Amino acid sequence: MPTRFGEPDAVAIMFFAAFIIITLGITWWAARRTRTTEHFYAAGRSITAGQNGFALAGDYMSAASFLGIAGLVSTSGFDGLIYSTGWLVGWPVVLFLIAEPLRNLGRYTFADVVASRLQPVPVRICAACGTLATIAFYLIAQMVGAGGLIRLLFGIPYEVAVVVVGLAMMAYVLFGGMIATTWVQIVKAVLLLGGAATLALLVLSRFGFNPANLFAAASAQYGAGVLAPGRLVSNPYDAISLGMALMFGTAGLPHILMRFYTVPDASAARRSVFVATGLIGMFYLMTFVLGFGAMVLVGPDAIRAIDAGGNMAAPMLAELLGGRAFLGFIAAVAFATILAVVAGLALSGAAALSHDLWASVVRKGAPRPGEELRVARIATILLAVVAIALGVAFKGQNVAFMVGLAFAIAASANFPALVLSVFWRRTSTIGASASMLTGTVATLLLIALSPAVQVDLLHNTSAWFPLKNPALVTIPLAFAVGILGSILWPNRNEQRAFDALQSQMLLGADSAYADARANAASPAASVSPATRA
Amino acid sequence: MEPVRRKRQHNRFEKYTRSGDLHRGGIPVTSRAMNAPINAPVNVPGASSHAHDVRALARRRWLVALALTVAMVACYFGFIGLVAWRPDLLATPVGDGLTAGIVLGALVIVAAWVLTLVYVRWANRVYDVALETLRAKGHR
Repeated sequence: MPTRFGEPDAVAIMFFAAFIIITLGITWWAARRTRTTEHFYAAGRSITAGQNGFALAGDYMSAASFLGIAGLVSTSGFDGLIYSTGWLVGWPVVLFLIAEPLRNLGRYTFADVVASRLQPVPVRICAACGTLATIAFYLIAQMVGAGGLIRLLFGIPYEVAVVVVGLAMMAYVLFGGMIATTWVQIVKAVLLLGGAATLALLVLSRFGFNPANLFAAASAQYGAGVLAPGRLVSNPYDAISLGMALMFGTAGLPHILMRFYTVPDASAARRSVFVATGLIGMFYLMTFVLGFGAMVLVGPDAIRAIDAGGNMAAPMLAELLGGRAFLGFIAAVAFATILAVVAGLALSGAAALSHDLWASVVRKGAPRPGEELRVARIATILLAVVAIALGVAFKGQNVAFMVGLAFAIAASANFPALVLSVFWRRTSTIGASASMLTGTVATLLLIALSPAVQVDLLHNTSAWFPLKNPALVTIPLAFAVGILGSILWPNRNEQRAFDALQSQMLLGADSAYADARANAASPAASVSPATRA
Repeated sequence: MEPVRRKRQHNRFEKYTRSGDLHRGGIPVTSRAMNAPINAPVNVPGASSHAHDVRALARRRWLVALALTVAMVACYFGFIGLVAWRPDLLATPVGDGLTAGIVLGALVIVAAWVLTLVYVRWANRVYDVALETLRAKGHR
């Protein structure tokens, strides 16, 4: 059957346009409600646990997971499950360690939490470094993926596609802030889960609704090797390193952590992670089925012929089982997925620039009324321009790999400092800042020395650092630096502040009260230390 | 959002603390507070036993969180370890069409769900109740 790939298709463009119209409508509705920084960053804390569960799941189920894992499974079989499980098991870690303390100790970003009892200036600067490095890699991966995907599905030139995605993302975030991005994520999550579930059911209907029959057919056609670990993970230390990055990186992704502030309290944060974990687990089970369905019904050769990375497995399967209409729907959903994720990334980058750096470091915690919001919007425009430039510059790079690197940075720069400052009394400013800085720099350095850059990019014979993903080294290193730094340069005041904060960590600040006070933001109320009893 | 209007009648410690948030014993999380130098916690009657209860609950929560995290890490890295060092074990067939690898991978996903459920139930039954007790005592 002749495929419609690479040609502009009326049905696909129709779904596409429908999605754009719906989300622009959401943005318009959100823009009318976005008045303060609390709305812009945290949706006015009006999101319920169930809604946030969908938003979190939506933010997490990027095109890399949907298209990438389905493609990986369709060409390599079992190996895709390694990624699937890795991308899921990070969520329980977030639930157990991070979700509630994060919500109780911070206001808009995870740097709030680390800085809640430490010296804000060094901590926020280092946190912003880690945040922006993570976001940069993640953004590159998404923009490159978006450009390639749109070119493959709609025939639009790569550069045009990147510009379109960048501009749309800018519009969502600039006008709609967190309210718009949250609801776009929810809509997209529903569409993505619905589409994937329908596709999975269509696949299983051909195999008597028994996945074992599907796997048996796959091994009959392509040998028993597809049901067992293959060559994807050749070196055991590579496997463990990648596993560590995936598991602990989730707890360090700034755009995910930012979503915890959109719910009213910690209990809602906990429930939203519960919902998200359920949805994401289901999703990864479905992509496994879809991958094998594509392997059996479409064939790895046909998939690789369209796109060497195998990213088109799911859309091709949709076309086969549901016709052009379903292909159009899946294509539009894949595009929606990318757009929603880059909007979330841009928002959290804008928060790092305006809330962490501008308001807290430059303005020493007392920005003029309305200024933080304006700076956030300017930062959004800047980030959109940078994202477009990076997307064009990195054309053709391997995107799934870059997402893994983004996870490695998040796991090394953000996660250790967050855990240490929340749970360890003796964490000091120097320890936390050094940990974040070490995590960021060491990861970037080891990536530059790794085979992917040295051998594949620079064509050297061998690489200085043997692992493709540096997490195995950088995560323990960041923890060690944080612990050593805190032991060697302790700060009694900060330790006492930890005790004082225990209550807030469990019970929460009266966040509505704290926000109301902050938004009143009268400069005259800057209290001097002497007035505190 | 309208600015909060401060009423005249507050407890007399208002002028000593930034928000009058005396009972919690915590530092209010405002932008200004985040940049203020750290001082000793406020002295409040009954605060020390309250703080003791808070510490005890925090420790309990930490132990539960640690135990569940270790369980999750063990499940996942056990699976990865098998993939890395004993892939032949994972290739053994289980029934028709399934292999040990697929079954174990699916079990890891199920384990993630189960551990999540365990935590949520503990949190709903034990932790939230304890938090409410603390809140009630704190506002006495």
